[in-house]
Amino acid sequence: MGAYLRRRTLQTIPTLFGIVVVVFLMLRMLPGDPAVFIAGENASPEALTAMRTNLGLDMPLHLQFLTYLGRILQGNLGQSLMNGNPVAAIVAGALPITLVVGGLALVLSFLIAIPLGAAAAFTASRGHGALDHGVMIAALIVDTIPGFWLALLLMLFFTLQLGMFPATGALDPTNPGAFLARLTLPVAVLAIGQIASVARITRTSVLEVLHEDYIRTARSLGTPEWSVLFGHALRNAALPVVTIAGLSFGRLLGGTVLTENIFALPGMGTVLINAIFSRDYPVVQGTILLYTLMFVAVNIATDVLYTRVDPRVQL
Amino acid sequence: MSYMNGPQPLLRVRDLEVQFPTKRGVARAVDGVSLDLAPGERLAIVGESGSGKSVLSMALMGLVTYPGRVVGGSIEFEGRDIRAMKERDLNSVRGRDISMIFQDPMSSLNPVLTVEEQIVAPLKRHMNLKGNEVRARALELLQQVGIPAAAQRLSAHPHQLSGGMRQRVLIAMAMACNPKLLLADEPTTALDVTVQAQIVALLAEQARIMRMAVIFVTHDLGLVSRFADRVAVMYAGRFVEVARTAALFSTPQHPYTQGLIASIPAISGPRLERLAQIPGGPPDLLAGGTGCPFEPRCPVAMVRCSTERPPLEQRVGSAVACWLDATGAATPELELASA
Amino acid sequence: MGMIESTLSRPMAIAATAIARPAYAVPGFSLSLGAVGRFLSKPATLIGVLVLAPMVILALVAPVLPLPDANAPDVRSALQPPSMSHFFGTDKLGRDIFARVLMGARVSLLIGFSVAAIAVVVGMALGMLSATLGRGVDSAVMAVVDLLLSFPSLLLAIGFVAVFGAGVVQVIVAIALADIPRAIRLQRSLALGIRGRSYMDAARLFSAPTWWLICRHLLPNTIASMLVVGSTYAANAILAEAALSFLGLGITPPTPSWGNIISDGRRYLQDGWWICTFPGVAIVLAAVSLHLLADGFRHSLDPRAEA
Repeated sequence: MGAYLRRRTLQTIPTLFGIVVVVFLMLRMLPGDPAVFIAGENASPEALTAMRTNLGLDMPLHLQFLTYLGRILQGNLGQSLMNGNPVAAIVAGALPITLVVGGLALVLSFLIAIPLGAAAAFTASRGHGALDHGVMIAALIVDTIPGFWLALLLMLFFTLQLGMFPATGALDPTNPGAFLARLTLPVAVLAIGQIASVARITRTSVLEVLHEDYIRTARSLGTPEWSVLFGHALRNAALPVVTIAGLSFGRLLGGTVLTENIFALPGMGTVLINAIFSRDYPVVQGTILLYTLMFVAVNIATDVLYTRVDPRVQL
Repeated sequence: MSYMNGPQPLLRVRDLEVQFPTKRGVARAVDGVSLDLAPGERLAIVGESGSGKSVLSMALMGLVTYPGRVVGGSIEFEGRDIRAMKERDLNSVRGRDISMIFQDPMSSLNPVLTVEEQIVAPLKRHMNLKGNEVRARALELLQQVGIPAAAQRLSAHPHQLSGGMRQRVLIAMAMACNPKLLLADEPTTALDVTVQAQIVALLAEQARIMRMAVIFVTHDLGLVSRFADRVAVMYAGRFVEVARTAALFSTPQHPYTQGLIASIPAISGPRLERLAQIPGGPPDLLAGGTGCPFEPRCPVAMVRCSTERPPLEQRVGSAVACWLDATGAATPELELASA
Repeated sequence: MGMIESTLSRPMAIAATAIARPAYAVPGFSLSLGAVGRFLSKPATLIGVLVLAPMVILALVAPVLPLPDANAPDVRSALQPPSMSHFFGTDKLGRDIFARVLMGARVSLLIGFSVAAIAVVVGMALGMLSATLGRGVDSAVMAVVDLLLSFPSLLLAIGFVAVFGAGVVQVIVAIALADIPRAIRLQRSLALGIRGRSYMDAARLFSAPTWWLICRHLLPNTIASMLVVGSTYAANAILAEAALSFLGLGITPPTPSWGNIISDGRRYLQDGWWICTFPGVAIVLAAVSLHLLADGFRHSLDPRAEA
């Protein structure tokens, strides 16, 4: 597996390079003169020159890029234009919250969606299609509910009407009860956004697997149904589910931006949005780069996981 | 209809009916089948695709799954009523007393499990073996079915094995607990011709050693002549002729059987312009008419054939479901031989 | 495959394609009356049409309907709950939410359909070119495709808007950037699949040029698959536009879009729940019916496909 991981990571290098190029170009593609765009029409020539130097805009393009690349490889994401703090530090400070909320949501969604999808498929294969129809219809609707809208509705109901799950205020990890209460709604919203697609893919996958010949073989040898489901069906049905997990992580990341915005969580999404509005482009670049790297890393991880689950895949 | 007066039959099926609801109506895959099978006996069931033979063998193990249903008749295995058995008891019969091997070895093994894990499963479940004993027995089984380098094969995954090997593994799994009855549903159809012969020889030998009864479903008459004690010809969900193999080939009684045997090209003899064939197409299992299902294609059909369904009745040496008797004359009402 | 392996590797790409149910990659599609009949045969599809059509019609005729001006403030009627005079209530400035939602429909639906159209057309073209113009072009196109797909789609859109600003055109491009690569991949695999089929070999024996053959066989399949994925792109685009506008990075006030109406209503969640609620319902209805339409297309154009 280590060899596969290495090989897989190496394969990603061209893409990583491309990502860095795109992020680098973000600043240079601003309309007109980037320095003027950021500093404003009324900035003094001195301020503009200072900004250009700061952002490295006074060098030839290829030198700019090489400098940028070199710094990235050393972990230097530049400085914030707002307060001069290293972008890497700002992002690193905001990352844990995003990871905690996103991670909890991911785990929760799988814990609910997989049994749900499997149960729907299992009962459907025996002829009791009611649960299956219900789950599929519900999944379709829930999948199309905008996460931010759901968040507002939940906030209206729980926070404002019932007074549970505060949606504002600082996060205090030392107070576990309050901490969890503060995170409940955002995690719930994100998890709900994932459940529908995972449940659907699980259901479809399990249903297909249950019609496979090897299930028939297992049954003909006297395997009890629960063992057929868990020992044979789910292990094979897991393959598309693992893949979907990787793909839906992108959606999850997008969702964290919205939930952090609504629930005032100091995560990477809040940093990003604030930076956009204050034209703090180094921060914008840094956060987008990090989000994308996380997505790439998760995709590699799911690939590796896939090879562990399916022995047919060439390592 | 009983064909022997000896010891109690291993398997006794009466008037079995299996149906599949489809969008266009109910398909009667098995439409009143009766048979007796003696211990150690080898019965071949012959028929076209869609004649119901696979469904019949699935039903014998209680493996007919939704949307199919067994709607009538009885199945008794060693005197126990299969239809009345609970899932738990059926599971202790399956794989241990009755086993089955299926048509497509390429897809009949679980791709994510090793060969060892799959062979060991029935051993653990039915034979109560543990640890090393189980592994030793698995190895032994693989060797028995003629898999070279059996020890390495144990840790292999199915995709690393050829079709013939996979079928051998499946046979090993089916034989693992020395079943009394083996159901083989076209086990060689998906294999190369050379491999076919090997697999058939393997099955014959195993059956002989373990005194196992075999019900062998096939559409290949050549295989039948080499392997079976008795043959049942199936058409549209029913048996139309049941006879000892030699008798079936030498004096087929039912027009369908005659057509089947006539259509086998002969290696010797005068060269034919065209191969003989049975005109018409396979029957529509949804139709459920009142007459003989073969009547539309029968070269000697009579008026009676389209209105009355001939029952399967014992004649000298074979059972036939036809209104014509052995001489080709229309039969008067016959008494059914005592069951 | 191009020389550059994708970040989304083969197993995932295979599974992703399988998940998208490429039944429409099967030859033998018919764009016929039979297809239309099948399209309308599923009740779910009918529901989709019956929900979406009135929305589109209302959006189209909204400017000529006798409604209060969507942008005209009327502080005397601020924060009124839904009533006969204001179906969806009013906001803090007294603007009629029903009118705003209808005008917002014009924007949101326009963006949704535009994204779908652009993604489908560009995807078809580039996918075809990539599959037929040889290895070099193919590698280059797939490299760009893989690069775009390695960004999480909402963040790609946010990044685009951060650089090029907010506005209808920018939003359309920003959202389409995530769908175009997928459409290219799909079309490319369709074209490659047809190229590899055995009937292509047979046809070549009769000296039919490859590109003509591909078009002949590709076109029906393409139209079919593009209808299916196009509907899905439209649904996702509506959701994406709403998210962007909600964050203030999409359509900005005073032009109403479903997303920014919800954003406006955030502060009045308790006192004016209707401001957030109705646009959200509109979003859900539009997206669900587009998904149902996609299912209907899939079913009618290849009845063998499972839902």
